[in-house]
Amino acid sequence: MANWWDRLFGRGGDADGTGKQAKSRLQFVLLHDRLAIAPEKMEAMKAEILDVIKKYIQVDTEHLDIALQRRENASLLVAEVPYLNARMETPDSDIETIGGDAAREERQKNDA
Amino acid sequence: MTAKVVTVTSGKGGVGKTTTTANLGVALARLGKRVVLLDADIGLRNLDIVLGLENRIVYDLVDIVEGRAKVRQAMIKHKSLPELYLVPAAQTRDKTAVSPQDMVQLCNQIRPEFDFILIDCPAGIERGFRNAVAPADEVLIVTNPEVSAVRDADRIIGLLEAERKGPGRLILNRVKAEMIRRGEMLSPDDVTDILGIKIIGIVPEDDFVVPSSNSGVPVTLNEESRAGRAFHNIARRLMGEKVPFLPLEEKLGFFARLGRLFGGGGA
Repeated sequence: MANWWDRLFGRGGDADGTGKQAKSRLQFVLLHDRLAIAPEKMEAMKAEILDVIKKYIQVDTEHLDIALQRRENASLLVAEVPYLNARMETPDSDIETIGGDAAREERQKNDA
Repeated sequence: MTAKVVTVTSGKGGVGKTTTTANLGVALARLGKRVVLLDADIGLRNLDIVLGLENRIVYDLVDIVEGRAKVRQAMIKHKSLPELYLVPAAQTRDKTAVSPQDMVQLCNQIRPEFDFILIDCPAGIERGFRNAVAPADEVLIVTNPEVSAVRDADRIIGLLEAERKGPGRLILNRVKAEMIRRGEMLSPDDVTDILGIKIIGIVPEDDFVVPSSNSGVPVTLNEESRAGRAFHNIARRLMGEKVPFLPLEEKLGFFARLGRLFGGGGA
């Protein structure tokens, strides 16, 4: 409730009113509506992304957050992935080729 | 001269599409424009009763499309505004009786004789929606400051873009300034932020609206009504005029505010 002073002078409004909730809930649900992706598919995608990341680094899955967000007219898929350590060994030889030292040197050469 | 075809849509039912269409038609006619209102809600005819013309119907939209009547025969002239006509919906048929192409042809046929053709779109996103939107030069999306209505409006905006009829302009209907002040209702800024389209009108909740429908005299004919004035302003904006938005509330004097302090509210 706005206090008596605000009421008397016609100011204010309740910062914690349900209008704020309506806005944030709508913004969240519309991101999903607009992408037209079913929640189960979204979950499947998150799991798959996580599987890839886990191949390379140890992840704190407790505090993982992958979600759709809207920032200044851009819709983003934002992944916040707290990591613990780099994996000590690579699980298979494919990854060696993609992410290994040779590839890294190649990229650095291209950047320079 | 050729008429501009404006479709009034919403997605969700009950947000005030028919009231909006009727009032914009009346307001445009009072501003000297020649106007046809087309009720595209086949099977759920309503524009006639809101306009007080329900007893004059002989032919309807489906009669025109199926060749039983000429367009002019089906047009009903308004009682007090000689430049306002209604083409009523059929009551005993369904939406499949008319195709989007039929609507385009019908509008093209009457375009040369009028300034505006306003189409009252049925609720929903199926055939009736596509029928109503097919001939549109401009689309107005009516919504209320409520989560369900805003969500449906967003869906409609997406569909309009897919049909290359977007983005359309927004009419925010049934706005309660007093609830916005308390933070308990989405404000016009909130809704345009969320939907990302331009707003053409903000219509306050107004106790004159229901009695107007009761008597079949659209509220924009009532000078006392704030909703009526809002509809009048939207009509002028449709004509391309720059009209400032009405303040959400009448300016309150000190004693009115004192009353609010003790009485607890009331806009």
